Amino acid sequence: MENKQVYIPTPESKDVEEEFAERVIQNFLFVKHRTENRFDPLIVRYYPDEETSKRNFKAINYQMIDEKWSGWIDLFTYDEHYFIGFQIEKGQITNTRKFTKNAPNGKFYIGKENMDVRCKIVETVWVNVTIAGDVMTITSLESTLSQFCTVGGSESYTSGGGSYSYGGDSYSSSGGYAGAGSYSGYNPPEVPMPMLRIYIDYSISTDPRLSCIVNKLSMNAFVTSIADFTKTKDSQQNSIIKLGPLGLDRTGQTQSRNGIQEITINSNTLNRPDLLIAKTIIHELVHAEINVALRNNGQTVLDNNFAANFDKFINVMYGTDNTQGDLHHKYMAENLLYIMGTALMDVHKNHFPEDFQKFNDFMKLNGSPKGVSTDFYVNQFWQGLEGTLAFNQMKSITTNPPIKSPFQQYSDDIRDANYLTKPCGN
Amino acid sequence: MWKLIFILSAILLFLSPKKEESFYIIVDDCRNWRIGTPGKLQDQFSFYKQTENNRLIIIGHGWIEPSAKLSTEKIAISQIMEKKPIYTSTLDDEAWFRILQDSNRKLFILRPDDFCSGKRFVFNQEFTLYEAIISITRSE
Repeated sequence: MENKQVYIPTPESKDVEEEFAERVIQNFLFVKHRTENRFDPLIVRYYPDEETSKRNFKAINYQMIDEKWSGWIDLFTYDEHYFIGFQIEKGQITNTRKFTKNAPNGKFYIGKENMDVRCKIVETVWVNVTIAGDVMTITSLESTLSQFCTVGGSESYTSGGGSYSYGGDSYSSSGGYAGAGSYSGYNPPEVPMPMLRIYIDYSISTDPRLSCIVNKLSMNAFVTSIADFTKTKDSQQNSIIKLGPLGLDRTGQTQSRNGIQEITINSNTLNRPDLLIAKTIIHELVHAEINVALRNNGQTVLDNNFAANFDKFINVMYGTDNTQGDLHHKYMAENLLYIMGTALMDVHKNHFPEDFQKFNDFMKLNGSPKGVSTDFYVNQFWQGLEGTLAFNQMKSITTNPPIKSPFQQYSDDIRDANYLTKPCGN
Repeated sequence: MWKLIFILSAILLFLSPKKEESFYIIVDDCRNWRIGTPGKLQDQFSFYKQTENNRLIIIGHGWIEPSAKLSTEKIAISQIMEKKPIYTSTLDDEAWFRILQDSNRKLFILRPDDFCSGKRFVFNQEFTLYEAIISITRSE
């Protein structure tokens, strides 16, 4: 089921397919639950801003918002309660709208407010009425679509899937999930607050290029799940990211000092494409997240089974000279490469769209008909993990030509990444 | 008046930033380098070498867009020697890092399969030098 796309009903003819090309498109998204072994269905509605953003049903989905599309995307629970919305301008998220509720334990929930918000599309048909003497002429004009959301109050709604009633704080549904908690309806998964509260140091906030890269990263879902960036100091911060000189043999480092995670991006190695600097920041964020997880009884969104997975490396390293950094790298190499690679691809595709498009075209011309794949981004993260068992295993795999070995592919991908540009400036 | 113009132009010439000279690198430790997988773009190529410290050095004559195409120079071996080239056999990791840090200078290479061929001993033989992008893997 993961990463599958299914069209219901299956278009049988071109005419039927064209009927899908409505201005507002709705489809389902099955989201893997963070902690439970299940997928949650969400409704995704796409409201294009202009005619130029109209797309065929098959041409748009949640993971395929092209760089020319502008409008709003709203997510609803499958029993149609508002979840979160994103404003998109030319393929990039510029705004969000959501109703969240902070709890004293630092988590935030989709609160009652959400359960009480209902939105519906209202179509208004406009007509022009002209009366000349006894003759009345009515001409139809273009109809418009609007979205109306109501919070609380009494309202009833009936659909084929079940019936719902609302009245102040009470909520009941039939045909929904029977979840735990105070609601008998769909119980959305808890989304914990990121553990890293990161102060963006002056050295980065005053550097237009680095600031631009950090801004783009802070719109990525993986990054926001572990880190909350801010340019103002407050007592909640447990991390800092700064630009500073380090040895030429490294691009960045993370040090834990008195419980504060200090991430330094090497100011001596900035003569690299923007995407590779973004990659270094993601790598360092993961170091910081691991450090905080270790102080926090192994709790992290990186891994549901962090303690056991990380512990494997502690056990095998007793009596060796390996440092803590190696421990992190071994854990990253075996558990996080795909997640980090997918995040970097998302950053490239959605936040450096022109750079991505050019690179994708280049890859197609250079022998990859499908264009750039996730593997390219995963391979970028092998840099810095040399010497781990997983890296050596990858390196030792041989293939018969013309099939490239994983290490050849890694080398080619590192080479090609260095041809990328600096969209955030020099 | 002419004196003034002469003095002004002399000052401007002195103040204008000098165009940085290019680096010339001869890949002479030919057996340590292997050629990168050729793609479908015939005029691009790359060479790889692994250092003792497990770092990967990649020399790439490649580009993504035609407008970013890297240049080439055709030049006799005697003229290359006048440019005081750097030999890759003399470079350790630190030396590579320092070369990469100098972002203002273009970098040209003499391919290992050219340098280690018999053509090197032919009088006045011209070689193509290729502008290259070099990368080296670093710790994080």
